[in-house]
Amino acid sequence: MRVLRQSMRGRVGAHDYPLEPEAAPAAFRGQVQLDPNRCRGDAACARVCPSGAITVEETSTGWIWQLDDSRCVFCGLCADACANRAVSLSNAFELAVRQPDDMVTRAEFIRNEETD
Amino acid sequence: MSTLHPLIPMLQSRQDEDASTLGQKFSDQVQRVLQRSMQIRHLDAGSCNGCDWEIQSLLCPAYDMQRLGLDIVASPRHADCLLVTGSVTRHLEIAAIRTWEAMPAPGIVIAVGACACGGGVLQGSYCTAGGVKNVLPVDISIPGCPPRPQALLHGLMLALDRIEQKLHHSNHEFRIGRSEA
Repeated sequence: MRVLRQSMRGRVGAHDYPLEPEAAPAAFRGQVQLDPNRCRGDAACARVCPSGAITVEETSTGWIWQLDDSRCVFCGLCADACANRAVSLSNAFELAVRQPDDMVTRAEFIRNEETD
Repeated sequence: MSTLHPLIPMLQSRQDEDASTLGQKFSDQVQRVLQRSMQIRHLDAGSCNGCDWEIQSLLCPAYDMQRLGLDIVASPRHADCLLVTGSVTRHLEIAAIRTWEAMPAPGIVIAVGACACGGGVLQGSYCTAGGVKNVLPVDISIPGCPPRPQALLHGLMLALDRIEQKLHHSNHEFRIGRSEA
């Protein structure tokens, strides 16, 4: 409706995207983000991930959280499943990379025995 | 009488600026690298058509990729870069390789979508190759399920950069566009 009103009042040009940055629309599901201060390593996100994009690996000192963008389907189940609200979906959509390895985000956590 | 829509003065001022300053930047870059527009061939290698529709929407008036000097062509023999969607099913492996072999050097392969980048939800399936990188040499990967048209344009900008690298930092001599001699 907004577009229709715009087009009645004047010309509607093409998007200016490559020349000017353009924000994603509201409620857009973009790249998965992890808040490292909230992550407790319970791997709820990895269990619900339908494509296996998120993996949580236990190590002797803590855990390794890993996201593979090349598998992520941006469904948002990980953000729903996380009890600590550590996982959220950002607005980032410009994810194109030159090296396939760059699509992997890796976070290594060391467990703090005093607080956990 | 109601006031003007807030967007309209903005659009007018943009029209004044853009025609001379911003509007030609990307197409100038394409012209500088290739001496013509960038020709793209789209190859569907077993995708669900989500990514294909996003590529198709680049040709619509809303995104209008032709104004940027990009176009989709009907044959890989005319193409500078190959947009591959889908996780390359076993039936289409040979077709993908033949399309790649038909492209003139330096061919750029762009994997579009999660399936093409690393298999996506079809990772580990017996009937797919698990991503384009297992079949063809991928230069640019655009993850997303599907990627937005803006994300595709971002990937195509990286592809143009890669073409320039291949043209200028290679031992081979490529003939593209008008010859200066």
